[in-house]
Amino acid sequence: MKRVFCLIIICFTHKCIIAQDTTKLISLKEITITASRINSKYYEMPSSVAVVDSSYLTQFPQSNIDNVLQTIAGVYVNRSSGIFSKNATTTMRGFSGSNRVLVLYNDLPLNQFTGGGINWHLFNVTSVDKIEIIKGANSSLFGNNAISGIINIKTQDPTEGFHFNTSMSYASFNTFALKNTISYNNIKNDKGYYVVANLFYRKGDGYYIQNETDTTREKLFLNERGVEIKYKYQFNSKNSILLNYNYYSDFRGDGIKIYEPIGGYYKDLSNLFTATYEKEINKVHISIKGMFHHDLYKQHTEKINKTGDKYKLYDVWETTYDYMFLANAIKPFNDKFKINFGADFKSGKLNGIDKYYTSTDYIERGGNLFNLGLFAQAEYKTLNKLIFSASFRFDKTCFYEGYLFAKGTTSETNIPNNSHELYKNSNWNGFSPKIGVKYLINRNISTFVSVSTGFTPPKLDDMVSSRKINKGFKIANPYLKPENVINYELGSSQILFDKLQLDHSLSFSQGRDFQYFITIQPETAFETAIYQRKNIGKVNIFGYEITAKYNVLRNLFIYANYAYFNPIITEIASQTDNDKILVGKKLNETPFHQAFAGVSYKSDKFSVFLASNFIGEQWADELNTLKLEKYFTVDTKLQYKIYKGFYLNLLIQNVFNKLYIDKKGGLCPGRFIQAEIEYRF
Amino acid sequence: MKKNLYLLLVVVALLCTFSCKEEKILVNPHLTLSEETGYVFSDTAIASGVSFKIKVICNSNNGSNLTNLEVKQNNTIILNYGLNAPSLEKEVTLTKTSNEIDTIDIIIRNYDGLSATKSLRITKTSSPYNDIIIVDNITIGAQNNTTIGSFLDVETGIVYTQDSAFNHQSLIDILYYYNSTDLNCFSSAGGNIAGIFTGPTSPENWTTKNTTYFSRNPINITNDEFVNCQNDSLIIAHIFSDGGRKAKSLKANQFWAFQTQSGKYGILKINAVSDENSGTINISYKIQK
Repeated sequence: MKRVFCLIIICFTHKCIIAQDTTKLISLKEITITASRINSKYYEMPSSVAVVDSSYLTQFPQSNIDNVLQTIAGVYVNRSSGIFSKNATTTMRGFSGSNRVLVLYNDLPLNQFTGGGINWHLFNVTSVDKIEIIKGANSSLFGNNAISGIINIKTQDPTEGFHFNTSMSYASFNTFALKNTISYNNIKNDKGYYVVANLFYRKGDGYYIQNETDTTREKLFLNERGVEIKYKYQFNSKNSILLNYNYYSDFRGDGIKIYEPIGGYYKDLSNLFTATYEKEINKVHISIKGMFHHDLYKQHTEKINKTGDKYKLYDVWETTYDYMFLANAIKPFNDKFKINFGADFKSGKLNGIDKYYTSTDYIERGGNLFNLGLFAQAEYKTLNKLIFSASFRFDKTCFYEGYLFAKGTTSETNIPNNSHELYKNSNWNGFSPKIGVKYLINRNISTFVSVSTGFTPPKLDDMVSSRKINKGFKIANPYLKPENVINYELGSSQILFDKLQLDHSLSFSQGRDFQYFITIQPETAFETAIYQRKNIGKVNIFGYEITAKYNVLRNLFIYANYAYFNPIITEIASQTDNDKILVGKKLNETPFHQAFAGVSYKSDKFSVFLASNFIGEQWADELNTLKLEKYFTVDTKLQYKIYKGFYLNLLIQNVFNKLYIDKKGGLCPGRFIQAEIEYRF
Repeated sequence: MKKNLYLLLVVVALLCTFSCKEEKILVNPHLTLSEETGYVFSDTAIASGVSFKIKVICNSNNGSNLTNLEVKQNNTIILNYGLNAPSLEKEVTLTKTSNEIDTIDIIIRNYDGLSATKSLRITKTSSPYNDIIIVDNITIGAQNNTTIGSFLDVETGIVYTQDSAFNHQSLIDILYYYNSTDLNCFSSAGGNIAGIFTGPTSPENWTTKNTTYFSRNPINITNDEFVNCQNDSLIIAHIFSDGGRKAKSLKANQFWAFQTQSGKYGILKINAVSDENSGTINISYKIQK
């Protein structure tokens, strides 16, 4: 076994033994990864870690923050309608479902208990300092949702004094956008305050997502606005309070218009408050964080069947509340050993109403989830070469006061009339350990091995919501159980010739009680399809990732990565033949192969980024009968400094106008061109 | 100070002007029934099993668009129609049930949830035809089916296993089996069935053997005729005189006429059938009371 382990290490590192000491790529290694919760250094973490810095973000051809995540090996972002997408779905390492990626905002978990994911539109790209990505199961740190990885979005602190930044852009589909940032930083000698305000507005006519033959098609219009205000007061270098408020509202078309004046649409209104208090007492770093997120969502939908004789008009209203408190303390005993421990409390509430106008159906649904987590973490360095990291977490999660009330129901909703269901409360315990070892062979070469676990309770929406979805009708499953994942990983990192950084990772994950959306009743000529999320059994995912970053010249970088993941359902808990047929099938909505290549150049006056993405084939359905075609896109961004503080930006996404189809059969917008003028004061 | 006051007034006036939204008119929609010849528009008397039409005419009454038309017969939804229009004319066909009085409720709703309703009372007239028993979706097992019995009491729709049927011989009118000669086949204890069912409780050993006769061939009626049949008019129209004791080669969507030992006539529909001696057959039937 020892020989095998040595062979693997040699195999992973043999190229790098001849490498020279490096200085240019070393700066990245010193970055502190706060998503580690123990403030580990990038190069000391026994995990696959990626960091996107603000320079990369500014140069990259993105129109939403999630675009940039697509450039990370193993991360798949589904934003098939571009800026006109209702939201982006971000998944990692072959796991489908955005609820399996934990997203942090300044180290605070944002995933909502309702749908498990986050609203990516809440973030303004201009305010982001860096994005940390830790791949693999990581529930030992933050508990739920960290099944396939963690993404931590960190906002930047303004520079000293008063600054003003404004930009205006005009883009394809008659899209107009305005961004303003005002900041004032009065922190002197580690004492003082700063305040930053970001304002954002974007409006566009949109494009047709349906084919020309569809007489009900309408443009996916867009109207969105956002505000972000950040205030920090620093008492001294070891004591500060940070307050953050994000507001976002949007109004978007759903692409179908039959009789309603503007057709179907979505409206969303989000308010997010976060607060962080940090203090150091006797070298113990104490952090107390709080978050409150309120979301109001309305969906107005009209539909007509293929024969044109069955018309439906209905509204969905959802109100969600998520709040949490996190507290932890990091105690370093010496340069080599530190511990971290703490407790988290999270709670989520959903109230939803579905009102049908073309029938008498009326449904009210809702429920609550509550989570309490206790964790401890330790990091130990020895011989200047070995870093041991161990952590564990205990989670107690409760589902309570779940309900479904229905009246006037017809065959439209498949719910018995006058239903008054009060779902049984549930309690679950989760124990999530992680252990990892990193071996720093020399300054440029390192390797790690880790075993980690993931735990995530069901989403509220899956437990209590019986409602219409795009492809049919979804039935609530109040008996869903949490899902658990174990992840084994072996990885390495090398810096060659002072210019090339190579990261490899080989991983195997096994999901148990895997939550999967499956067909309960297929669509027939007379009945709509019925779906439900169930704990289906076991899923195995084997994967490999390689990432390369080549610093060709001082300001010229080449990036490339490739990821392969093979997620297969290996065991079905259900005894029904319909469910058993899933054994051997691959998970849907996750590509098997992904690749990215990009080149960036920056001078004092001019910068350019050329990026290309390959998304491999993926299954659109759980029975693996409908395959989505692979596609390749190229994006570019050019920035030119016209005069003092004035910049001209040209963004082209999907340069070759590749028209691909998404999982719902919708067309992508094709080529998107945006011209922007920016002034920085 | 005065200048500021004027400025404030102007701002308030502007705010009022631009914040005034067009008031939405909340009025109930309007609903009438067409009085044209051929349509029922008021309380009336109709014989059981006879179809009749109503024509619903409605409009929004200058309020929000109409979104739902619902027609209920004795609280059962007959039509649940979605629309999004200021007016609607819709013809609906109904069939008088065997109830003494049928209540027909017609409700039109608009986007605001406001509605207009009309009710009709349809009384049963005396008819030359008689009431019937209606049984839907009964599954009967073939001779080797270990879970579902093969013996049917047509008056109640109860399916008996062989042992249980042995104890209720006088109630059993139809039995089902499958073999390579007759394929899927209906018969009765008096149908001279031998070697299909085995053991001491097999029909050969029964002391009371009811005989049911079946039309020689499937009868030619439509599914709508069968579904809408509320009295024995359709059954009488298909009375036969030269029936056989077996209905062989049964296939889905066939209709067969039959007559039981007690002399009652009926029509059955094969909904689904599996071609095996351990399989099942699913039928719906209507028989004279």
